[in-house]
Amino acid sequence: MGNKQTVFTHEQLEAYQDCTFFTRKEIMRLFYRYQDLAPQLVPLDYTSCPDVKVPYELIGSMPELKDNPFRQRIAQVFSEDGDGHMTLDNFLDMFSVMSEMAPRDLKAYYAFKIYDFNNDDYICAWDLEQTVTKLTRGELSTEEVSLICEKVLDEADGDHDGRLSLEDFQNMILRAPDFLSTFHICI
Amino acid sequence: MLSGGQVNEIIVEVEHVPSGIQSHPSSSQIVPEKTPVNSNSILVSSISESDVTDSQIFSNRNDKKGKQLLQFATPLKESFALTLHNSENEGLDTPYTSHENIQGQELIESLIPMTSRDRIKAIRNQPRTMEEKRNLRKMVDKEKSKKSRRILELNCCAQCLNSISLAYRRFKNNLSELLNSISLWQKTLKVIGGKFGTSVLSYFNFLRWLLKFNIFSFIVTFSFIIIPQLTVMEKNHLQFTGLEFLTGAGYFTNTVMYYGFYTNSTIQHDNSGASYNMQLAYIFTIGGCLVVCFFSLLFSMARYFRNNFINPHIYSRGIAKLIFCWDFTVTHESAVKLKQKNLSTEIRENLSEILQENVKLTFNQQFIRFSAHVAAWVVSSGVAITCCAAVYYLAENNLQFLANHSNPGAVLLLPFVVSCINLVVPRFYSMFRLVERYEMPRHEVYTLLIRNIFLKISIIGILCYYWLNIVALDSEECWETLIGQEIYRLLLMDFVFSLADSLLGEFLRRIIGMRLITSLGLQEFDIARNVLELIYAQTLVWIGTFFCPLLPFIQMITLFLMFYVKNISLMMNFQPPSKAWRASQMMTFFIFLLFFPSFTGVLCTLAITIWRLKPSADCGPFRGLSFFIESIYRWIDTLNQTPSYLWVVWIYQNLIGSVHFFFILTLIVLIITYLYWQITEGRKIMIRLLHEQIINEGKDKMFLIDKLIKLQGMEKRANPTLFTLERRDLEQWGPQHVRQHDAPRDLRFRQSFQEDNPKA
Repeated sequence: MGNKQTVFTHEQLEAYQDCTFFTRKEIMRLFYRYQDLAPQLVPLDYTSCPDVKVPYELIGSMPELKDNPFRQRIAQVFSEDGDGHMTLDNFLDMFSVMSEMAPRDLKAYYAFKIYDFNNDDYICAWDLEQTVTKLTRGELSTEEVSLICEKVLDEADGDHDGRLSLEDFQNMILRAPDFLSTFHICI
Repeated sequence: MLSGGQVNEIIVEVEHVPSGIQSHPSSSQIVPEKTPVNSNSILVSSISESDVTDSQIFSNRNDKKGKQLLQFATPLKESFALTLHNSENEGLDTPYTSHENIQGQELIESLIPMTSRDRIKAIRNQPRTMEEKRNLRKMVDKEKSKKSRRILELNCCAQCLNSISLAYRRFKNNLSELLNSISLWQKTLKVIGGKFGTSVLSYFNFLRWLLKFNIFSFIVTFSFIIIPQLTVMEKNHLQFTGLEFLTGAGYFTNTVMYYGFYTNSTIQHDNSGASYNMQLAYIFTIGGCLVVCFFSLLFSMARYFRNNFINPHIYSRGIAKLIFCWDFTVTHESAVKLKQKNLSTEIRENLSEILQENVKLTFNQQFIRFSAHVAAWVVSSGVAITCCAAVYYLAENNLQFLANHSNPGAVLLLPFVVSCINLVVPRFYSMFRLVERYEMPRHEVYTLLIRNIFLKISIIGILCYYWLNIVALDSEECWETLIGQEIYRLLLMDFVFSLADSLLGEFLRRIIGMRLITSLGLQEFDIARNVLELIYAQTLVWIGTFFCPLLPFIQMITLFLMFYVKNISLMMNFQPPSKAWRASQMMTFFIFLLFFPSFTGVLCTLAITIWRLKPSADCGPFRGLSFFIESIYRWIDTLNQTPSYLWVVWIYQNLIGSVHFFFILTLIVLIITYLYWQITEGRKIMIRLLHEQIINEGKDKMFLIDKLIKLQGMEKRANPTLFTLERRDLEQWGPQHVRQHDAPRDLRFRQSFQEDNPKA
């Protein structure tokens, strides 16, 4: 295959290919999407591995993400410092995990991190309340939200410690076969 | 309480290091271990008051900590795991602690002996950042090259295998790139998914998948049957009128479209020595198509079952699924808002269902429901049987009817009636929803699907019976061509009705919903009905390919047009679905339907045709034989004469034609099935036991924490100034404890605990 692009070295592209679920063409396509977000910021030559971060506001304005209720959490989870500003590596990582080729466990791991708003490695009732509020846009009353959180913990909490660990979450995802197809962003 | 900014004096932390489960729950190597109590190191710490705010503690402290490795198991056979290490109490900011270094080393060790394909798969599945994965890959490569340098003699076999696997991997990458670039309708599907979600998208994906089948069948039949026949084409003496597109008869009768046109001779050009036996080509091509379709269906079905099959014992009400399975593919702003509204409604309904769960119905109500179900089933079966009888009667009297009416369009009556039935009766079935009440909504969907399938398969069955038993015994004309023409007309009429329905019917429904009776609103895309129509059409195509080899091509065009028509109609006339539709389960069910009544029915029909029926005497590649299968027998006989092909004859006589072989094969398959079934039962019991064990461990934890709190309470009373509980730990471990002791159930446990704490 003729390697006509000048953005990455051959080794870089191979490394990306081996570490994500994308083919070479898709990686290039994603790079150009990333570059389009901030044309002055992102150089067209990545052979020297420049340290460039696209700020969260631009990432959050992508058409695939701009109406997603969890876009801030997604950007925070995949960014390097947890603040939502993403390098190219983070960007590729994000779309690789959210692509349809990623296996269920990998997706479950990242979904868990996304729904864990306070980053304490457990989904507690507060995290659930945040999730439900984001999902329903304030349509439900506070009592209903509390009731929902309680029911969810009843259903999914295996060891009854009042919060969901990664294992509880993965166990619950096993019973939801739709998860693979819904936790998917097409780019 | 210590006054501001005190240093840690004594630190309490229950260090949670789960060491038990190291592989995916579905693998067979689960080694459950109880976390031994004495391995928890217990330390007490204090926090200054200024640090105590709700959740900020955790985000601030955990943000810049060293890379946290969460316990994560891959679904593959590799059983390496990364252990969670809550390093919050270490005030160090070093990226790698020694503990993590050991884990990383173990990971590298386990990656080295793998083949490169497995290694890449393992690296991709790691939940680490890109940088870490790259470093991992580099380190593994380095280690591997170090090791291979030590082994001085790599026998050329291993070297060969290495280079072959590398070349194969490159080839696969290039092939998948190529396939992706010619992937059809990628952007359109993205738009559909963005506006309507995964469920409607599954219909269009199904349509695209069926299109692939038809493209493959067309390519095969075109290359092996149609092109050879075109080279020895006879002149067509019939007149061409425009009506042929509708009836399929007339001019088209003597073209490559139908079975009757094909020659039974061995095609030879210019005495070049290469001969092409049309008989064998015909039967092997059709057989080959069907075999490939069979395996493709089987593997798809197996893959869907593996990914989406749930253990029916642990079916839950599903409110957790509603919360955590938000559809990330929806990107349109209005669609997202609508989805959020619908989700709220559904959650409310779900909550009210749960609250009413324990309400038992009175005997009267149960009786009424049961009789409603019985009545509905009786009516639906009655309607289906009536329709079948009508179709049979019409088919039987078709010939006399045609003799009486000389209009060439009269042959369209039967397809017209069948398409009308297919249009009206499913909608009639949907109306039963008003009368019947179900406990679970998915029962309703399944019942509707079963009734529709029963109707459609019965109609196809009646038609096949009529064709094979009556038309085929008519020895005057070319009965295969007649059947081909009938199937063509059925398909065409079905297509015309679908077009009319999408373009006119749905449009009218939108006008009615928006202008006239505004309470109805826009309609929702009925996925089940549309998918069943696709399955019905595909069944007809599979049956008809034997009699009309150009049928996959026609179906290709049909599906292509249907995609665009349905897409346009969807965008204009429909609203996104209001209820969560279990897309994956449904797709599994649909593919199973495609395989089980549909494809197996096709195989039965064709088997009866080939083994039992007599081909027509003066048309087609099998003219003159007494059975279609005789062509194979004769071929085997001729092979018997040539000494170099005796192995084919041996295979035929001892493996395909021998009863003993099939008996032994069946026995072996049954034994293996029985063993796997027993293993599955054993695993179910194992799952249940492990589930109970998890619950018990939770109870143990609660018990220990209670004891700890009591002990600390006692010691604090003894020495009030030295000991203070770290609030965070108690909040972490205490929610259950708090809930049991607080009279009002308050889930905002942090707040409540903070209120409690000053009293302590």
